Amino acid sequence: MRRSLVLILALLVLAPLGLLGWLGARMAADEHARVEADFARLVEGRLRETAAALVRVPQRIERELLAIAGEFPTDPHHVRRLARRSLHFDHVLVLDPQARLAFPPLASVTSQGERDFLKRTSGLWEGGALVSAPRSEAGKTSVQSHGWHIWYWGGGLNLVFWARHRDGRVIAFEVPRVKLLAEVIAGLPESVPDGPQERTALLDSAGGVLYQWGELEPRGAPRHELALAEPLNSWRLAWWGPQPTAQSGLAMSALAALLAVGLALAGLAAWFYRESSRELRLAAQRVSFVNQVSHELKTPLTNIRMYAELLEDELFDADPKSERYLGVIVHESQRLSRLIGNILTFARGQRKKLSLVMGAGSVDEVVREVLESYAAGMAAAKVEVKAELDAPAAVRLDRDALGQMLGNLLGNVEKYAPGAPLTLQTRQEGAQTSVVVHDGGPGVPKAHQKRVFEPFHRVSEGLADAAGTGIGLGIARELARLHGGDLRIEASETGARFVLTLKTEPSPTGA
Amino acid sequence: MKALATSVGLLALLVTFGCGSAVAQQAKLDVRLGKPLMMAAEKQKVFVKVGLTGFDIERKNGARSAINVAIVLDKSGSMSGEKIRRAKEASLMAVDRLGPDDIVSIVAYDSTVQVLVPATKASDRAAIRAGIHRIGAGGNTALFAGVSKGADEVAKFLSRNRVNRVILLSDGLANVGPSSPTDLEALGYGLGKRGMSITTLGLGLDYNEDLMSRLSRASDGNHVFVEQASDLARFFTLEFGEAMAVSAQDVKVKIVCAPGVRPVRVLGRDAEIVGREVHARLNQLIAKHEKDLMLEVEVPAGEVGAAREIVKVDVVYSNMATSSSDTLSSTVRARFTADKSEISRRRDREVMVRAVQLVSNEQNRMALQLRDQGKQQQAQQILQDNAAWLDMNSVTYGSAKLKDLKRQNEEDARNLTPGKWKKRRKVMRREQHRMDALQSY
Repeated sequence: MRRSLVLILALLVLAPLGLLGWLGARMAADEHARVEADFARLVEGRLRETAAALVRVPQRIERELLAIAGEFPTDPHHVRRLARRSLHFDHVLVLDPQARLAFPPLASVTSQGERDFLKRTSGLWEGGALVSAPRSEAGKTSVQSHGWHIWYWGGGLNLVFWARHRDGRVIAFEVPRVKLLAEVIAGLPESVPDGPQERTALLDSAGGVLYQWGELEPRGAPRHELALAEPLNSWRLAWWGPQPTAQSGLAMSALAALLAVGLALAGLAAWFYRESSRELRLAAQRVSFVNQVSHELKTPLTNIRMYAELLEDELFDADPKSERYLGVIVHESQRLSRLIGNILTFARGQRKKLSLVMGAGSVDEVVREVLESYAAGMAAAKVEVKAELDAPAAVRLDRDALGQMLGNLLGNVEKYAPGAPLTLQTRQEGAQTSVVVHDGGPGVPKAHQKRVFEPFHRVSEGLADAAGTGIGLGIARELARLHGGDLRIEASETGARFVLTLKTEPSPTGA
Repeated sequence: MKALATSVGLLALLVTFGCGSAVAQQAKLDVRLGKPLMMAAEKQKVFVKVGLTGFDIERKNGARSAINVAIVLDKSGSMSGEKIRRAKEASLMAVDRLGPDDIVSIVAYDSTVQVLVPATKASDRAAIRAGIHRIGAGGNTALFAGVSKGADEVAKFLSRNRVNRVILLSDGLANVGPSSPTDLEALGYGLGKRGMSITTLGLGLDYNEDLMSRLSRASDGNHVFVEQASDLARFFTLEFGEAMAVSAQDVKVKIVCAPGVRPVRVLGRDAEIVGREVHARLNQLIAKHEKDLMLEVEVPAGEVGAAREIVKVDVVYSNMATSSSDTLSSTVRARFTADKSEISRRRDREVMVRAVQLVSNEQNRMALQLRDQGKQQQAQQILQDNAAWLDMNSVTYGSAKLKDLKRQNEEDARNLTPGKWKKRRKVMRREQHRMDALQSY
């Protein structure tokens, strides 16, 4: 009882605490995930900005080359002068409208630089990579169409910007990779001493660092990567940085709230525990008091009963008045001793000290004795007893316990079902004996059938109703179960039908 | 076209005379043949030297050309200690020499780049000094990025009226970003085209001299081997001194060979030969110091007594004194004779000595390449042969310079052994560069 109370109180404290803790942890985790997602968005946004700024370099070169292509000279002399002066290209390839190489002039004189250039771009003018450069009929500007051509030669990215002139020529400018990179780097941030602990790097297609900034020396794979747009699409940006620091404030406040709630709950539980244990102590003291009183009452009552019975025997043929008075004394003292017996049994049960004293005997014999002692009471209650006894065998049983069980059942009949017939049946099957007590009273309402066995439960608490302690049936069932059987209420059309089963081993001594 | 060139030449003459007694505020173009007198009736090759000299800028207030310079310092781990300390000292000293019109930026790099002082007027001295003091060493070597950022700072104030330079100091191999000599050469070429030159100072014995020298050569800049960090201050002084003396920039040279004359090769410089035309670009000229372009041409047979135009040279450059784009023009002719001794007598000693220097420089370069391939013996043989050839020519032309060069080649030949090679290779690269570019220091 006490242990289960402690358990329940602990549960009452721990369950909400656990729930709150779990919720708090969930919230903290959610918060962390949110912070991380925000951070990731921030970093990605910055990378995108950087990438956009980066791609503006080739875009600017593209615009300037388009302007040059729009007024591109035909004389090789002028083309060379242009290449010598231009900051955007060193070499240029011109294909005539028939997609034949027009510059550098392969047939006539070229410089060593031009010959090297022709060699490394042979795929463009021989293989016809640029021959298929689209023509656009609607073009009103001097350049009809244009685009980037990217290929790998000599250990790196090579970029060619081509433009198809209105006159049908395709002009392809070689944009030096290194020069492009230098310009890209010029536009990228530099490291700041004591700057943020992170690292951003521009990587080439092989993952080699082209340029990097930030104070952090990176380890492992980057946490964010972003590929660049054409024509730098073989390059990418990579970012390394610390994990975003979770806001510990929230977790701390959640923990504090949790602690407060936990303390409040624990206080409440302690109060409950104290109150309930005090009540329990009081109840135990009361039971112990009643128990002691009952013990004190038991001896004088037994004496009264014994002498009344003796007197009943002595007063043979006395006047009927005296005999009736004596009968009342005997009957009432029997009722009182049964009551006290019940109280003592209940008290023993409470202290878990209920035990049986097994001996030899016959069930029917006990039933008859009980019936006999109740005969006067039954007669007064106008109950007609019909006994159908069929358990005569000598078995091992606790006569007193059986007597107490039957007494409680018959006492109830006397109290609650007066003026109706009572059927009492016994039957034996092997080591099982059943006793059925079936009265003709109002019966037990279905809702109460289970609870009538609980201590202190009474079907009706009305003042006009029969008096009682409400422990009789509970004790009877307790004893029946102790005796290897049970006490049940069985469904019946009229009245209450109690079935008492007992385990009755055949007695070795015989009867 | 020819009429135009002549008139431009006349204009240049007018400018010269217009200045009266004052020193001409013009660069000097001097085109000479190795053999102005040539053997008749045979096809032959001849050297043409195109010499260019700057001038002293004379302004009323004695001001010199303003410079726009980015000091790019390697601050990788290997620079820690004395090297970085000396580099900072040298930079501070150089900054102190700058005038209020000069522009300077300080860039430091390791794995990443820090622009410690963005391009700013040198008058803001405190900020610049603070920036230099902030430099600490550690990390890798993102040389490409460092130069790119330095160039970007120079580009902010890029002007024909300023001397635009990136001064790179590194003691190690580039290992972050593009790191091959070819890539850095391409970077140098691109920056040269924009009007900047890159001076590379290699510190100690661990830098990549090929990368550094080619980066300089491609932009017609200076290249220096600084063995001891304590020498840094001296080289910074020389470098800034040269930058402040620049009087002509972005010098574009066009040589047109006369019909029948064929250009064979250009020695010592990168030039573009297309048909009969040769194009080359020099970044800067300073006073009293000639830079040149050595062209070898093939001349068809001529008759005795006949004269023939060999080449016509046109130069366009940006004049730092007048902030204008000036042109120079010159034509050189040869005469044919059958008199061998006269031909020999009339040889231009200066041109021939320079040609011998450049040819021997190519041999020296080849020896280095062979040594790289592990052919130490062959490399040594070439150097010894080269020394002998130089000795012979030094006698022929009575030249002490060739004698020095001979000794230098002998020294090279003695230092090919594994223990000495690392340092000697840097010396050779520096000397090759100095010889080709006629570096002023």
